Amino acid sequence: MVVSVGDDRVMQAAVLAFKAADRALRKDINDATRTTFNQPWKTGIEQRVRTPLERRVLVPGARIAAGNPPSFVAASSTRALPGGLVPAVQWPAVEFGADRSRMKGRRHTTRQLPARRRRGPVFETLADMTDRVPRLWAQLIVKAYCDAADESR
Amino acid sequence: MPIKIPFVADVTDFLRGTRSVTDSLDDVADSLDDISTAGGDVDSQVGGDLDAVADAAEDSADRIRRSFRDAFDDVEAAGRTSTQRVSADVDDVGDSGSQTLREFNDEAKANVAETVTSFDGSASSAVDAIQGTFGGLVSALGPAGMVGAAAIGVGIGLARNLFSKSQEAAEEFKARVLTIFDELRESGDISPEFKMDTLAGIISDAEELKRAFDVDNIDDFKAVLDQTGLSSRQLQTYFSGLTGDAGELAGAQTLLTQEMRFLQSAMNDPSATLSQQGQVRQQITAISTLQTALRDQGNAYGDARAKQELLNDLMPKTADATDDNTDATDDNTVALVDNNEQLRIAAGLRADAVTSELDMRDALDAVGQARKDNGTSLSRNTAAGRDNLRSVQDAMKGIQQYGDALVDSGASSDVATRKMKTQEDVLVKQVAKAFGITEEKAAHFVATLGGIPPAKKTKVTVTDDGTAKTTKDAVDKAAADQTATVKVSPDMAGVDKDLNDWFSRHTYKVNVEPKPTQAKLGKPVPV
Repeated sequence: MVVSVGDDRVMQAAVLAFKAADRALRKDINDATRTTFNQPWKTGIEQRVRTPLERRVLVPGARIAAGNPPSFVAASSTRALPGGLVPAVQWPAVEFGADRSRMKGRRHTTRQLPARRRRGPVFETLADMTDRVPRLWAQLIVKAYCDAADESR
Repeated sequence: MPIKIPFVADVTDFLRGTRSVTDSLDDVADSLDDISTAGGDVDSQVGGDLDAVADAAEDSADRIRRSFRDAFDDVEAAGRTSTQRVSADVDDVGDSGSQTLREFNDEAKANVAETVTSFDGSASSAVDAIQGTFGGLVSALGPAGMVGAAAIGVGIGLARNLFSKSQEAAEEFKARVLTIFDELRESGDISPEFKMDTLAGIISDAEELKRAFDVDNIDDFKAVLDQTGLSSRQLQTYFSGLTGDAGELAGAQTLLTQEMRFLQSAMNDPSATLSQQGQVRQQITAISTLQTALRDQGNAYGDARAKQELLNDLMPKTADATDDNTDATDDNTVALVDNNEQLRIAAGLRADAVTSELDMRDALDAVGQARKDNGTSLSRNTAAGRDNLRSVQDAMKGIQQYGDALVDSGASSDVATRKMKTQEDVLVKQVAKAFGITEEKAAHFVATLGGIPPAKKTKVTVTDDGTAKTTKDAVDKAAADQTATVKVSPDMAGVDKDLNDWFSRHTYKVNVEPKPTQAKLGKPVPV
């Protein structure tokens, strides 16, 4: 799903250019990355969640972590929900679902989780963004360089 | 672990394999610097010597080619899996007889010559120069164009530095120190090479030397180091402090403080000769220079560390606060939804009450209309009389529904009863007037048709505590002329005794099947 830098020449140029950038320029690129991608990433997940459980587990902490390369982050809350579920630890059950018929003794322990699925809200959003975001990030790097050159004129 | 997916995969391995490439690209940047300088020179000469420009361009092109070649060699040496394709490209380009390299040389020379002659010293001109030089190379190099593309980035970065150098000079040393500590924190450890690089960075830059040690060149700096009289081991401790972490910084500070105390006591030694005192004074001055540099470094580090600690401290709080806000918002949302639901229900019930009142008034009006249509007959034996009776009955039902709706909408039963009674009185008067009978007769008539009857059949549910006395009291409290349906939970005390008594008075025959371990009780058969 994610582009590998080993196979993509544009991405190789982008990560190298990012590495070669000086401190101020790196900051510019990071700022632009966060500003550009934070909102669509978070909104994408919010629009796809269907249940209050999904909302409380997957949405908190959805953001873009800047860096080389930047990362998509979600379900990063370490604060347990009232029932004890810690989103940062147990998100896979909510994202990918569970076997709802499973029982522990006489109790349906997974009945409240979604049914098994290949992707939940987060990975659906990721699938939607992952082919465009790295390229736009590469463009942001080039633009940051050009803006810096303009400013120093 | 939360969900964390990088934009691009395998970057760490790739960068590890290309570390030397970016270093070599610095050389490319230096070559570009030369191009800019050459351009500036040409610009300053009216009708400059074009031959000289061409020579300079050719030199620059050679240097660029060498730098690229070095970069490619380094990549090849790294030979890591993630850079295998780059290495394969390098094989192609690095072959001196290859067509690509010949094209590269020609392209570089042509572009550099063209660029230099048109360079006017502006930033856009510098960017044009870089793109003119390397834009062609990206395509000429084919598969190795990646490195060229990165070089364009480095080149533009250079252009930026070139034109903003004077503004940033004052901040450079501080920025470099901050960068050093950023990297320290990120890496979590300090490698010897890193320290050497840092130290080399400090002492190889005239401005930094001046700023840190108040000397103009490296020779003066060495002289200061000699004057301190510190051993090479002590100097190593000092430089570790200058470039290292908080512990090493503290170690260096302690060393200099102890040395300073020792020198001051030597200075005050009455037995010291004048020349000895002069030497000690020189040592004190030199060490205080080192102390100043160390203190600046410490301040910068302390500043950075304080900011980091503040950030570390704030991060979880911010996260918690965000979570709290989210929780509170969720709770509020749930409460609002509940509240809205309640409001909607209440509004619906009030609407029902209003509708019932309107229906009831229609029914009351219908009594008068029925009188007009059917005359005054109330006989059950005529159609007109039955219609009149039905209109009165409908009016009574309307009053009852109105009362129910009032109770549903939240009115107390007293209020509902009072309002129903008022409407019933209105109906009685209306019936009396319409059919020409007395109000007593009308009241009796209305009550017969659906008003509150003199004898009521009421359903009474008694909640008791399981004792017969409570149940009896509850039933006694019900009026004697009412029929009460009573749910009784019987008092079971004494039942066991009754059962035992009953069993003791009866004899049972028990059928036992042949297998003794699976004996079953058959049906009791009275004997």
